Amino acid sequence: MVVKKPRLNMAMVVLLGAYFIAAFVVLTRPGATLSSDGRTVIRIAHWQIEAGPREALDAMIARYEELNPEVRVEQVAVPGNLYKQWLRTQLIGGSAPDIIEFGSFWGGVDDIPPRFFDPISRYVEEPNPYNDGTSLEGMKWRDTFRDGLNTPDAYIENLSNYYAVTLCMTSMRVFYNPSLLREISGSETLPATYREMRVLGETLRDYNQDHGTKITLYAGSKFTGDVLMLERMNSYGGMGLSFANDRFREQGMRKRDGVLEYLRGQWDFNHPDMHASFILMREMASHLRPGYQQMERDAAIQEFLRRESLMIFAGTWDATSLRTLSPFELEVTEFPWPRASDGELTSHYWGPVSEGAGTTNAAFYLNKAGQHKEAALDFMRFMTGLEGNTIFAQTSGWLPSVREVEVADYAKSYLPRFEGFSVRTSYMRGFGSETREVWSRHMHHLTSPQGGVEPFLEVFQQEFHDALRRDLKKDLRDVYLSIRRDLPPLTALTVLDRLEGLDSNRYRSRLRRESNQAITEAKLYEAEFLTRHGSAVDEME
Amino acid sequence: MPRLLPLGRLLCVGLCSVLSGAAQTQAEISVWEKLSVYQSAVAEQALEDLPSPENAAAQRERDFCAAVVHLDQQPLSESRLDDVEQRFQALLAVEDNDEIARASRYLLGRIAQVFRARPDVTHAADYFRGLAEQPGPGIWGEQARLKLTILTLYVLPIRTPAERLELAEGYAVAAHDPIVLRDMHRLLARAILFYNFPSKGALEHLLAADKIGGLVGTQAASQLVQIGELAWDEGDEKLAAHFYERLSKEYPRDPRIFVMQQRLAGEPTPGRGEVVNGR
Repeated sequence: MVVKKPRLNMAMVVLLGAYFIAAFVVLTRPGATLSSDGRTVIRIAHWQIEAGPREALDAMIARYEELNPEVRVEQVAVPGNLYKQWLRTQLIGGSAPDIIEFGSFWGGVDDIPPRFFDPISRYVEEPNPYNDGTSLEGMKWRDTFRDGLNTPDAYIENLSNYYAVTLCMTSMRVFYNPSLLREISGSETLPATYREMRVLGETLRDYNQDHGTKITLYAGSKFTGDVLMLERMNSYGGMGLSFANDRFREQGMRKRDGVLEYLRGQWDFNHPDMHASFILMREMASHLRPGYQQMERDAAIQEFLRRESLMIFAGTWDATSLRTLSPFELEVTEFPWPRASDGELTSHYWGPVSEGAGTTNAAFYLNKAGQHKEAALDFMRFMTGLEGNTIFAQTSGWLPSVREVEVADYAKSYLPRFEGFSVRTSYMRGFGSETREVWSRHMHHLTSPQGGVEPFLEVFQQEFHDALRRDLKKDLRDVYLSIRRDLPPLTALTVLDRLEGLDSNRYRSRLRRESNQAITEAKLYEAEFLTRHGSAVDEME
Repeated sequence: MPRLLPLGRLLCVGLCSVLSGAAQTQAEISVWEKLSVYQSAVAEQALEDLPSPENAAAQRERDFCAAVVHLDQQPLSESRLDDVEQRFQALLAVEDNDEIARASRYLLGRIAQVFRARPDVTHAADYFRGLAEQPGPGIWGEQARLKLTILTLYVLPIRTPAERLELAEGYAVAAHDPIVLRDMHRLLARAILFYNFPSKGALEHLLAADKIGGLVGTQAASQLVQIGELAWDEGDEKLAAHFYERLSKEYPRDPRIFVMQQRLAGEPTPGRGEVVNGR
């Protein structure tokens, strides 16, 4: 006891000392409470911890501070898996940064924009002063974006306002190792057709056998497996089936249309197109390492960088990380998805496939409770001005969100393909969490060496129907909640027009939302009708 | 001159009353603004902080506002809905066809239709039918007609889909508001396709909706695609090409343009099945 007491006291002194030093450093940082630096400090939070964006933000900040010496900008990078919880805590605690990256795709966060972010509609209708003297001078800020800010995270329909500006564009590409490819196939160029890709797979098998290696064709993880097989091979293979059941003439079944046509008996997984795509998925799985479903995305990147796989299918958000970390020169291209001309099993594949309208991503919002909103808004203007976004694109290696920003030669292959057939139905992952869970649980029946299409379908179809009904039930419950949630705001807009006189923006917003709601309700009742009557609806007069 | 004095006093009292009413509604505007952007808890707090209304008209405005704010709070229990219904019924007991009354009747219909754990669509339809048939101020009669059309097309106990469509067509004929009529055409087109009736009828309704116009964004782009695809299925390739031309002009970033380009170039494209009356 006599010996322990002084040690404890010493530990306390060291701890207290460390605490006071840390507190001193924090409180005397430029812009902090006890700092003599009189600059305004704004903070920007994001989750882009891949190589590239942080350095790009630093470069943008350096240039901004040069132009605006009275302002200091700090970036706060928080890993994606913690970001959502971290952000909510910061917002509720009133200590959130001034500019915040946010995404509605997280789900369950619809309350955040109206509570914590300021609308920026009136600002995006004005020119961005940082574009003065450029080809974008005088143009409305929103029109300077490649998609006119026409993305659900920038313009929030329910709130009838613009809330965010976007920083970049993304796409999915295949990154491959040309020297390893030459070693295996004699060519440094990746096959341009899926038929040739299948041949390459066989060549690689022979190579592994001859050399005692275990090189895979595709780097494997749950993410890459799902994206390759479920979101691409299966959905692309089901495009004809989706079009065949396109009852409402929109060029394919959307999520709930797909569910209803299934309940109506118009399609199932025994359809020849589905069957063929299952065989191709099984073939694809044999080119991923065993146990890939248990691996995280980073494990696939490591596998590729260790030359244990020939290529990796990844988002362009990983491009700079791959380029920076790769010990070898790598190449990037579009994956050659099957086309009807690719022979056996591919007659029902349509191509090329469109990668969408090229909407912009990484949406940044203005914190309503921020202390320096003018300065924060000014920095948002800078980072999405021609100069700022050029700095971002050049330093990060990502695609820019702003028009006229030059895309570097190496990044041109990242530009999303616009022309092509649209995929509107995701048969395995698109109907909801219940069916997705059934798929995940039984996938090994399809992809394992002992499995096969028939054993998979036998167990999968037993559970799919009930899971689909549960997904539909949940979906409809959400629709009811959404209609209920919208009624008071829509009533409020009507009353405001009565009390304050007609406001054209408010009026148009209400009409648009009421029109949308009418179709939403029709769809809701169609689903309930089919839940009650099933395929008997087609016998009715 | 002496005769003018009482008139002047009356005018003054009237003006004061109007100004006082305006000041009262000004106070509520902040609450409605909060409600309009989904800030229900803040709206409730703002409502509590308002000064007491000074006259019956202002009290009526306040009671209506309070009922809608109360409807927007959590948890949304059946007892809360009972309470909100009573508030709306109390407003109706005083006056049953002014703008507040019509809004209350519409909201009572919506509570029965979508808020209750066990929706009562027949009861909801009664409210909507009453509003649609009785003239009165505000948008509520036309909105009610739109909701009645949806219930008729899919939910109310009607023998056959053909009868549903016939009844709903009747509501469309009676619509006064062009935007509501446009939305009814869109609903009728959708129902025709849902019940698998010949798609020509759907095309006619969508063309009528297009003629009225006013749609924007995704809905507008999809309607152009729908008309183009229906025209294509009907064999009217010229009409299909025209609507796809409009799509590429008005929504140049819609990737669905590609299918029509392929068709016009004589390239193969996926086709719709016979089961949906496709081509």
